[in-house]
Amino acid sequence: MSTAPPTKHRPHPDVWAGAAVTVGGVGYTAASLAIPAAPSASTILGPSGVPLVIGVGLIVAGAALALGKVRRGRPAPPPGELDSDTKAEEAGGSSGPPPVERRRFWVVTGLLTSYVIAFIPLGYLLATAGFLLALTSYLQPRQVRRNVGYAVVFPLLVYAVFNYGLQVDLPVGLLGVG
Amino acid sequence: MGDLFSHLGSGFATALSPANVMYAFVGVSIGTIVGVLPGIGAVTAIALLIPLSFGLNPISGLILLAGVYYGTMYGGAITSVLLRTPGEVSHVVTSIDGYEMARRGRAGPALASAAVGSFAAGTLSTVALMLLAPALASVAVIFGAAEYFWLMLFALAMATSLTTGSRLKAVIAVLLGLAIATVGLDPQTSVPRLTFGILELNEGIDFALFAMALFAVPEALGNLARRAGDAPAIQPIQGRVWMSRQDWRRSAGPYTRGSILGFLIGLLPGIGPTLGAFMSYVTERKLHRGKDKFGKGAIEGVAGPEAANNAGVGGAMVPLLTLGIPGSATTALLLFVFMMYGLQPGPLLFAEQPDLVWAIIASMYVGNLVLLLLNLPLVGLFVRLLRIPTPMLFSGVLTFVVLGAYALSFNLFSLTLVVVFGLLGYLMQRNHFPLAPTVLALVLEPLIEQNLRRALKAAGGDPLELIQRPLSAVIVAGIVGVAAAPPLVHRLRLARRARNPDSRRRDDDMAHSSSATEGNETTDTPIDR
Repeated sequence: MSTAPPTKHRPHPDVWAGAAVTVGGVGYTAASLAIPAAPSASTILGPSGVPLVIGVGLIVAGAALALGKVRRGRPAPPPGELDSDTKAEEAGGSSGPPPVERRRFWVVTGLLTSYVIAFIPLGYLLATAGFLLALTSYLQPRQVRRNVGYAVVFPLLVYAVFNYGLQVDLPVGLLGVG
Repeated sequence: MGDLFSHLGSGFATALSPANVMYAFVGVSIGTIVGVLPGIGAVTAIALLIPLSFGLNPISGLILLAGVYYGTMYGGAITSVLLRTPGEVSHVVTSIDGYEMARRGRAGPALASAAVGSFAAGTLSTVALMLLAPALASVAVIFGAAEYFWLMLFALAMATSLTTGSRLKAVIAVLLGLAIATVGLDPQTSVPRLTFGILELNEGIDFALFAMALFAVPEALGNLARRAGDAPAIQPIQGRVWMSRQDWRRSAGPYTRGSILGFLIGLLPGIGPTLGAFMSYVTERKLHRGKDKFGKGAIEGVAGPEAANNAGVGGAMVPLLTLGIPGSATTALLLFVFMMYGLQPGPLLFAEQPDLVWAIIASMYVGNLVLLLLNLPLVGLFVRLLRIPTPMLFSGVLTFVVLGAYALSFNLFSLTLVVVFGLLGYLMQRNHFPLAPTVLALVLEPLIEQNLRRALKAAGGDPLELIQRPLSAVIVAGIVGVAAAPPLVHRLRLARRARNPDSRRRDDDMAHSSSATEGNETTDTPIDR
């Protein structure tokens, strides 16, 4: 005779979210306590007054969110599956969008971060062309001509519009050297 | 009344200058395009355009940005009808019957109904704005610092109470926005707050940068990180984009009801146009109960909500112009633009800057007309935008966000904040925290603190005096009522379901049909950006 394995209770995602908000609230409140007092003794509400109220609010709200889910004792679904709340929230008249792939997410985020870091030293044109080419090639590697064309033409067009049309100087970076 | 028409006349004289007509046209066009493209909302579009508007005079800049706002209100209807993918959260209900009309070969009448409804409601709401705003501005001069303080808290209370998701998460979203707004030098004492010795933080967190990062980056990251699913079928437009006589007759009532409902709800600070669209759909469905049309391509289900969400734009402009309190996250951004130009919306704006205010109001008439003339013949062109491959679209959006952040501050630190706040926005979306209340809180916090300090100073430091004025007490009662209403309504609904199982099935159908898809702010329904 076989018995069903016991349901493994994993914390609801809101427990983690609530905990993160609470920890953030504690940090924010601590930083608020470190705000210097107003130089003038006649100030009724000092610079730390409102931040302290906000900090306490974050701690209380975060704890309420986390403890509320802990108290209800909801079993979390196995990894990869949605729980009933999330299913209800994401259910629609048609099937929802495909799930986010973690690896792709981190690659895209890494490329964005690299773009941001390179934006000023390399200049708008080179950094943007490199970012667009890298990203589109990673996501759709077979569309070589389209990706290269897009990476070249799009930044040039935008550069022309901003620099010459709107008088907003974009960084030239390496192309301005010499 | 004579004064009103003379002001309006001078407003038209300014709004109808060739340059300003061009800006209205450009704004409405950009807004329509933004509304069509998934994941890019009015907040992102306006935030990206803010650096471009630096070089414009205030009137032209505000005409451009206001045009973007109501342009997005129509653009989202196109994808709702043809793809069943609302481009804006306020178009979720339009997609129910609009898409069914398109599947039955009636995409043209559906789009025409949306366009005409948007025009009619936008015009009606502008008339109402024109009549109501000066009257409200003349009354608003009696508001003191205490009243403004409570009114802004009322706006935040509305934003947290009327969300369909978790109210506790909405409260946390508000607190987050308030917390971020406190970073920088204290405006009264110049004491650095939460800057951690970083000089760039002395100026605080730029609102436009925050809005761009919070809304556009998560949407782009999410879409780029998904494998492309089956491309949704775009329903063809057969025949003319116009309505039959019967369609006109069936749309007239919803246009009127939707306009009134949308405008009145848009008036409420902190809400925006989206709730009006939902309530209009519910109203039309109840009025036509038993006719089994809704959900199967009832034109009333398009006409009413589309009228409501455009009327809501005019409604949301009323508290912005008369009290300086945003009616939505988008008007929060417009408030920031006003302040950037050195203007303070409120009752004094009508007295000190009548040319500016009436030019903006007049430009809304012009913009609505351009919207109608542009969208009906060019709808096919806008539809082609939907075929832009996702990697190209969202990579382009990311480059615009970085570019916009650079144009605001010209330093690497701000660009870094784009990534930081973008990831924050992504985490918030993933965990179903609404984004719009955060943005609203960010723009209101400096005003809340300023008015609180003024009120306490006037009261000699006694906080009890903040609720002793009758008007303050009324607003506080409103805050308590707004906070207490949703749980009471929920209990009444549970009791009604227990008594009447049929009403439960209807409620479940409505909830099932109007569930938002993942997207920019679709977790924020029904609170608009």
